[in-house]
Amino acid sequence: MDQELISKKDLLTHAGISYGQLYRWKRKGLIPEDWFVRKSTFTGQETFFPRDKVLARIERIKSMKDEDASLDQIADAVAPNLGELSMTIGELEEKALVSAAALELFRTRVRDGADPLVFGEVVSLSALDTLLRTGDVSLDEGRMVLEALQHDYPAFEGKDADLIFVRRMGLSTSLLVTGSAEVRFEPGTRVIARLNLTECAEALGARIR
Amino acid sequence: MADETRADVKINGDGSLSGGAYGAVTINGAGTVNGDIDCTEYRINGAGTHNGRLLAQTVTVNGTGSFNGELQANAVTVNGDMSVRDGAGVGQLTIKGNASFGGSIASHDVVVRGFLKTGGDCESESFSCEGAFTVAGLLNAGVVDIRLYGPCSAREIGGERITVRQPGGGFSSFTQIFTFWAEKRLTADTIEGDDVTLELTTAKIVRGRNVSIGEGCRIDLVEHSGSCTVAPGATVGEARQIAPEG
Repeated sequence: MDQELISKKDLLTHAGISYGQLYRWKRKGLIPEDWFVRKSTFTGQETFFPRDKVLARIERIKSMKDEDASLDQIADAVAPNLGELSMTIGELEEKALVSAAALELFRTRVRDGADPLVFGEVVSLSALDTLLRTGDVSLDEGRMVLEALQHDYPAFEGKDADLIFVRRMGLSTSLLVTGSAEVRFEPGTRVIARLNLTECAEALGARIR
Repeated sequence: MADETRADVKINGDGSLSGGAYGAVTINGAGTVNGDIDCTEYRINGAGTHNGRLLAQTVTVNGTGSFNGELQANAVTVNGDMSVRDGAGVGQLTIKGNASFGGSIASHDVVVRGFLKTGGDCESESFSCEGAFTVAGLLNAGVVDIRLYGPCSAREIGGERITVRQPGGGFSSFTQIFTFWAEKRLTADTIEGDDVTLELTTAKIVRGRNVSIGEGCRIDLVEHSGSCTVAPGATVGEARQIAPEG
């Protein structure tokens, strides 16, 4: 559950890249700003990264580079501009990209109509769909999650956010935190799911394409 | 951008303008713009205040310009004094006077021949300074080339090639303008790059592949994976060789 962090120095040695490359990739948006976590250490402020995420991302960048992709092409692939995605609810239904239950819930609780989905709605819908597919979350709970997303996701606009869904003694609730946040709960709390919303939306985006 | 319907507007003397899409906007004298503007050319000769966002092909400030909002432009040239309340995205940023940004700037090419201040980060493919700057956050550029004509500082500097030098000769008239400034020195917490060459620099940590610490440097810790040279006139607390990448 807790995200293990890796220091910048260890990351470079481990991944075999140089400072120059890391900074260039940061400028190009290949590594999101939120993954740079600044912490105080005995040598002063140091930068850390969420270990698994950043190593997976660097592997992906390196393999694409081996295929001679330009940095801009890689940036589009790893951090696609989902704002340019245009899809209506009807089209999603037709191509069966999102489960019928998720769509139905979205229609009744948020909106229906032929207008293309905006980014926040793609995020809500993809997260809801992912949760419902696992079967860990009931329809009623799904509705609650959808409300939380619609209400609170705008506050995370442009940032990396995680959705956490927990259950304790039969009561369930969901919360939104920044992607690199460490969260701890009382003993006896079951964390049903922690979803990275950007990844969720990207996965749906990839399916749409 | 080459929209036929866009009108050119000019404020001569004292006037104000509301937001919208324009061709060339010129303020000669004193002008106030209220609202977001999308234009091809934005020029202030005198004093201009802009309350709103600005999207322009080129922005030139000869005199004083204060922008209460965000700035997006292909090229910005400051020959006087410019202040931007928020951040800016600028292709080519040339500062021959004084420019300050409340937020971060993202650019392709930054040339400072005067003074630059940012409240956030400064990202650019190339950053060349013959003047002074204060970057409150990270200065991240592929090539950082700093000639010290005044006090320069950044919380962090990162890039591929980082060079900091004392001003050389042959530029005396320019040097004289800056002599009233305080000590010529670069101050940073950390400096990280592939090839790092420093003079007159104070830093806690310098990390890189090939590091050269020149005259007048005061560095607490140097970590290098390739070579490291320390000039006689430099103070280095500790230099450590670390495992090369890859």
